[in-house]
Amino acid sequence: MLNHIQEKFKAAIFEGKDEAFIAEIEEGGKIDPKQRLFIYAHAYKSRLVETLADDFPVLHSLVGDDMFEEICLDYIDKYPSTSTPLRYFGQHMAKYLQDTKPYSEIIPAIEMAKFEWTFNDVFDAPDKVAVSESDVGAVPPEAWTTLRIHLQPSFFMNEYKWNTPAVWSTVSDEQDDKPMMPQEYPVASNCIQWKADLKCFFRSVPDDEAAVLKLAAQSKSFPEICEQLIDIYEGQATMRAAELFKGWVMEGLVSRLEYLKV
Amino acid sequence: MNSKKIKKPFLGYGLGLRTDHYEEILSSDPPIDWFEIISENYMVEGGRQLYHLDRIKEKYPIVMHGVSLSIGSTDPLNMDYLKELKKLESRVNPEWISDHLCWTSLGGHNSHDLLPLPYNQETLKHVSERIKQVQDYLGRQILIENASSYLTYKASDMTEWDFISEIADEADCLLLFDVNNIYVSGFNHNFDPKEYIDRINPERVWQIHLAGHENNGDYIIDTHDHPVIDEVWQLYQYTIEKMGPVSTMIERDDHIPPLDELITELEKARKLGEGAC
Repeated sequence: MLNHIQEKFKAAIFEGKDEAFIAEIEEGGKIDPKQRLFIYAHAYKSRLVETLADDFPVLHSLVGDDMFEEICLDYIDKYPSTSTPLRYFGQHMAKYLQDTKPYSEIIPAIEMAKFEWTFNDVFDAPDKVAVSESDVGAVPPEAWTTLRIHLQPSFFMNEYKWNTPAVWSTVSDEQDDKPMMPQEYPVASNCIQWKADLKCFFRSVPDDEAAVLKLAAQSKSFPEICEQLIDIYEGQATMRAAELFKGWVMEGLVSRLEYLKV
Repeated sequence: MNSKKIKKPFLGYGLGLRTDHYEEILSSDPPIDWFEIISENYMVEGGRQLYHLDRIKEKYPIVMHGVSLSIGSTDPLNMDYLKELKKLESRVNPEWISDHLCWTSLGGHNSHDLLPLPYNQETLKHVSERIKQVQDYLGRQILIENASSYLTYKASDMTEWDFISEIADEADCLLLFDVNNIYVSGFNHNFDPKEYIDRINPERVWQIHLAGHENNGDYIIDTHDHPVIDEVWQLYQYTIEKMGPVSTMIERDDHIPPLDELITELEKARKLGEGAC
């Protein structure tokens, strides 16, 4: 009996199939059963739309109020929440846009959903104390051949075909009167997102840095990172690797140094 | 779980911990006796929320209040959620843990709302059994809160106050008594809130919630976005005169005002509490 009532209630608020459930509601009072059910059905959708609006403010701004509402309502139907904390509800938004016409043709919107959601993941990732320059100075010269650089758990890198990070930046900055318009890059570019001291950061990275960051994220050793750069930098590869590594340390991107003590 | 009878603790007068107030709480040590956290907001691996919670819990007692236990659902208990709850419990070391008398999810889908239950023997048995399982898992009694509601079922054959009282006895759990919710449900379902209050065993009530709501004329929505109204303050006074001192807090979830404003509102609860007891 209880299960049947709950199934009917769920069908009413998730799918709009309300007749069977309305028959379960006691009549009487100032509002009728249909209005009583409407309070719950409305609260269900409006809470989820509000959550998506909080998670994707720049996507909202890019597509406008009407399309954003259409997107949200359809997303709610296609991806009913299966997670307990509400904060994960929007996790499928980029995939939803990619799979759904006409949004699948609006690449800047898909990329913005990916970029904004990544900040959610960055924000909630574990916090680890960043490696300092003095930690690097303490690595014995002979240990550099076994050195592995561990990046922060909040480190994410994604490829963008459009100027999505720059658009996000100008739209988010309320002082900017004229936000940048979406524009396709001649060549796709990588952007990293991470946090340091509880603040989230992002920046575009050149191709050579993206390639070695991938290796660092796979816990490859410093010599392997240098080797990756040899094709471009030849004899200067180690210097370029050291320069990049120093930059990562200063940005708080590195959480641990692992090496064999000789 | 075999519970030992513990004397009801009195924490004083608290507030819901909200992100808007983190910095001020840490910098000015405001006169608030304790804080309640929404458990789900802290079920993360890192970030600003946990950082501030770790510091605030060093200064203030904390209680954990959940919205996702879904104790009335006919789904199996969500053990992943309970594991997260236990993990947070060991981090926070809360005075107690609470959730709502409702259901929130079914078939693995979450409504993220506090949906009402039919009040009858079938539900009573089902919910009591699940509360016992949760208490066994956590190794402590939990507090169950009366949720506000906008509909009643034809399948109900008990009043809400008899239902929640019998559940508390059957499951040997404690109660979080939301005075605003009683006012809201009383208005929406045309019952006398004082009759509700009269029928609750004061020994079970370890915490009181006060909050504001939105009156739409024909019905009231429990929005937690306004100050507490006079009628709810009167019901609060009636409640503590009946029950004695109970740890009391103000819940504000939207249109969060400056901390000073909430402290002023909380002082009203303190004054009524100290006057009544």
